[in-house]
Amino acid sequence: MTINRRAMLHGLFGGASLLGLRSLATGLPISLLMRPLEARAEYEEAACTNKEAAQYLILSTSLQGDPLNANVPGTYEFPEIVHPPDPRMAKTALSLAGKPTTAAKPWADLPQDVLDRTAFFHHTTLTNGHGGERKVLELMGGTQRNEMFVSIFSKYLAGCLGTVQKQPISLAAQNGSEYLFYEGRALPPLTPNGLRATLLNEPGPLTDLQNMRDKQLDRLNALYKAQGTATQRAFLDRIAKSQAEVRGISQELLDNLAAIDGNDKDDQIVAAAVLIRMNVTPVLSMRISFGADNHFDEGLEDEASSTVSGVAAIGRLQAKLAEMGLKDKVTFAMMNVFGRTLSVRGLSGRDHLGNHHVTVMIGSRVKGGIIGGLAPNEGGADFKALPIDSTTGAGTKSGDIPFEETLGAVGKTLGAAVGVPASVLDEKIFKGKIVPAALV
Amino acid sequence: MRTCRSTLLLFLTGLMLSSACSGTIDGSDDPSDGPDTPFEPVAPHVYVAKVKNILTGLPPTNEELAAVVADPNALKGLVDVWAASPEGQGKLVKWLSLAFQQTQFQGLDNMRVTDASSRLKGLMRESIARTALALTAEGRPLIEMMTTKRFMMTSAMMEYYGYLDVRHVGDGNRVRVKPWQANGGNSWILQNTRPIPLERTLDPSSPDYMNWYTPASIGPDCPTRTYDGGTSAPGYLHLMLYGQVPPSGDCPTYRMGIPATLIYEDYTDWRMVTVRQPKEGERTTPFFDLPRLRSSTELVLDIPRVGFFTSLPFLGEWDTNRANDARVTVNQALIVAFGRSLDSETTIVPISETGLDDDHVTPGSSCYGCHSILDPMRGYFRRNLTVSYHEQLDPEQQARPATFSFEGVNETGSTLDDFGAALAKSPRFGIAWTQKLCFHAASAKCSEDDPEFLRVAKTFEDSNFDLRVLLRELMSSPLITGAARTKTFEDREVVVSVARYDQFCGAHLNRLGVDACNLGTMVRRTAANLPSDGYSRSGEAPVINSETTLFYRAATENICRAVAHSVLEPRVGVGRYSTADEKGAILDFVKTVMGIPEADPRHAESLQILEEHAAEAQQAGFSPLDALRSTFVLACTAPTAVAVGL
Repeated sequence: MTINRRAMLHGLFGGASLLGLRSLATGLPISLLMRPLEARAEYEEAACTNKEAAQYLILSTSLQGDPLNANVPGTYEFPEIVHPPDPRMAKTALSLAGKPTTAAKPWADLPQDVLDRTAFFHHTTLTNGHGGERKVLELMGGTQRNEMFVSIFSKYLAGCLGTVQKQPISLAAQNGSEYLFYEGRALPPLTPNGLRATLLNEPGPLTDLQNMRDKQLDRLNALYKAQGTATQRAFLDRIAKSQAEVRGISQELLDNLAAIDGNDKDDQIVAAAVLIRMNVTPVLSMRISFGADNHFDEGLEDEASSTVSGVAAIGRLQAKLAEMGLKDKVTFAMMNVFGRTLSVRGLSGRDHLGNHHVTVMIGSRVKGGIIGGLAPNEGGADFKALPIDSTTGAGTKSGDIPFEETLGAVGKTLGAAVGVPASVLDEKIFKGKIVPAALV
Repeated sequence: MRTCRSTLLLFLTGLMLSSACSGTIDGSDDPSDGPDTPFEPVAPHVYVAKVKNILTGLPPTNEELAAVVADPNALKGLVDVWAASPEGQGKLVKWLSLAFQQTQFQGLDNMRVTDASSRLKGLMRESIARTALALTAEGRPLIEMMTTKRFMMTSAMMEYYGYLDVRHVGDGNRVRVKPWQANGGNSWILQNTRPIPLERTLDPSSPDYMNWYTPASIGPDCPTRTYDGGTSAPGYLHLMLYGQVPPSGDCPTYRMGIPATLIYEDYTDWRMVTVRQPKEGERTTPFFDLPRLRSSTELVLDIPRVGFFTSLPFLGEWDTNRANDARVTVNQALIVAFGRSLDSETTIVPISETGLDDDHVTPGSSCYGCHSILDPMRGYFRRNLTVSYHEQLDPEQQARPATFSFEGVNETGSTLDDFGAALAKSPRFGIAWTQKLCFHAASAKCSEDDPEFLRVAKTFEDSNFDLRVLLRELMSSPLITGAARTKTFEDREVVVSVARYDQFCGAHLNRLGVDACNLGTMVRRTAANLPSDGYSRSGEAPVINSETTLFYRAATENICRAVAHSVLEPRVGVGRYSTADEKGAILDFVKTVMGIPEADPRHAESLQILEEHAAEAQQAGFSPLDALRSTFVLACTAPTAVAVGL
């Protein structure tokens, strides 16, 4: 609820006079609240404490608010919930790490070894507006200094994995509304079909002269630093660092990118796997569509087709990771800006639903199963995520993770799955709890 | 007053309790405790280069630098000159297109915009910005962009707007064709058997009316095609004007490549065009009557077009549907005019609650904060436009109330003209646009409580929102130059930024005459990975990337390599540089590519470094050409060439 309190307090008092109240409301010291992400200050960076536990993360995310929450395990217990009548989406039994459940057939078609490491996490995103995408990735005010959780994870994991860069990479953002932010600064999205062209050093004299040029670039940097301000000097240092990072790119592995000729989800899958294989970054984002903004999807036909193709894409991603020897080193997660209504529109389409969403997690440290749950929204429309019992992972009204903190719980649990220590997560994410039931 | 207070408290309570709508709007304005390092003034040779680069993409000259060193106030006059230059106007088109949110649209639902050429899309994106510059040149205030019905258009754009007027898409996505021919018909003929002058084709009294002749083959078995009725008939004629031959009932093959009726000049004949709705009994402008379009400065359309917010790019980017019901359209327009986004922090109480959704009307309920203000404003759009942004013909929608209540502007009305007029009363227009320019030039927000910021905004407002005054005052201000401490630099540092796509590519175009980011497929793909300025849904601030990354570094290096081959003895044509004048080339690399004139204290040593590299490369056995190309790449990837503010 912090966002709402913040909103209220801003509305009442605004600006700096609000800090004391905000400090009270969030439990954070004023000095911390006073430092916005945009400031150039050094971020506190936890040293890697367990390299073996560190995982790469591929996150599929979209501001479209796909009906990802509509046909997954946990939603078939309620007859009021509408599912596409397409036979390809038939209710089908499956097993998640030995636990029987039901879901739309595409999920059941995933290989059993993938299902056994797949968790379906029911929760709220606390927003039903497309513009909330960035805030959802900031866990709706649940992170220190409103840092995106991908930024928190990436920074820590880089130290463990020894990646070329610390920043995450977005392979799918289509405009500013979907950009990832690292330490509060926007990261430009990359295009899969431009990666090879960007990173390739074509053989020839200009490549042969690279080292010689680098030495002179260092001299130019030194010249400008000698006459520059502290800010300019710091920027010059960052230019030099990025140049060194470029030289750390393995040219041998670039040929794996040669087959990419577009920017669709399969191109993103290949690009993500190769960039991880090249150890460029710990965290990448992409987009797998599950039906997008399907308000007027008559018969839920688009939802059916997209779910079939979406789950198949997840399967292809897992296969690609296995092929590249990365299956046990990469966790995949899928989290969008919000879920969609499950019953109120029948088969005529689905509207935005902030009260319920399902994040899918797949990884070697993820235990297959259903985390949380949903129930009819008492006194309101449609369905709503339940509080979560952090011990069992079950959705229950008496859960110790309240509805409002289930989003934070997703963030913390995903962080634990990729090997971010609980101490770091508790410091950086102050909503929700790790749900051990979701973890191996 | 008591009512207002109780409503406010209920609203605030609602915010605490609500969840579904909370936090849907971007933008935290957490205060800052400032930069880590004490303020250091930026030197004239740095900020003169920065300001000129932002405004024109060009490097500073010795004379310009000397003038500012002698008198810092000289910068104002230089800003005037730079902004008015052709390069300056081109750069302003880029910024204004972004600021008016015209740059990110890809196509319009059900409007076949993908049928239009990419060139037409480019024109569409520039139209509003060019309109702003044209109004400015006439001495009109920038705020007139909220209400203008005069737009910079080309004949090709007029054709497209006219076509959209004919193909109507209702709220239920039902497509129908409105009367579009003078004789009430909905069919036309394309043939290549009997030449018919265009004037007869377009003459309603002629028996050859709507009988179009092309000298090109339209299919061996189809010398004549009849497009007879149906909702596709006008769309197929529209495509034919672009040189495409769609299938007809009597000939199902699709052919491309007949001579387009639209000619090159139809894309370049920019002029101010007054767009208005028809008077009683008047017909709209026929989209296919190109001679008339070419000679006209008036376009009669059923769809109301007013201000920046009814342009195709704006509406195309912010598409809506029956659930969203034009909320996004209203909110994005508010961001342009007020620099503010509707969010749950807003506490304005509307003057009328008529128009609120039933589900959200109760103060304290979730979403009330947004919807209490947004929902009454939807009426302006929905009374007049369908969710596909066509003319609204549904009487139920036409009867919806429309109330504007935001930031102290409280109005009721019915038309989009009324909505534009309400936007034009924005008390924050000066601040909003000073801030937009600050983001653009400083790559960061200026503090709105900074006395210098407020001075610039007030000067702009006092000038009756003269864009030239805003440019002069802000671009010469310490807020941008960093030449002196202001409150803003207590809140953040003077930002040094990477040269983003438009800056990096624009500089090469204007300095070297090379379309650096368009030198073949590989370079285009590489350039796509340079950061671009953008805007986001609900975001008050533009999305700006100022940071260097390994991908930025790699991309600029590879683009610079391609440019090196283009400017130095290319395989085809004559390059700007030659090994025959190596010394002169290297001097120009420093002055033009790196932007460091002789008067810059770093010039001599920079020149020496480049000369030493060229010599060292040749000593290592590389050819003079390869050595000089490598020296070019060195200059092109030098910090001052890839960054703004060094």
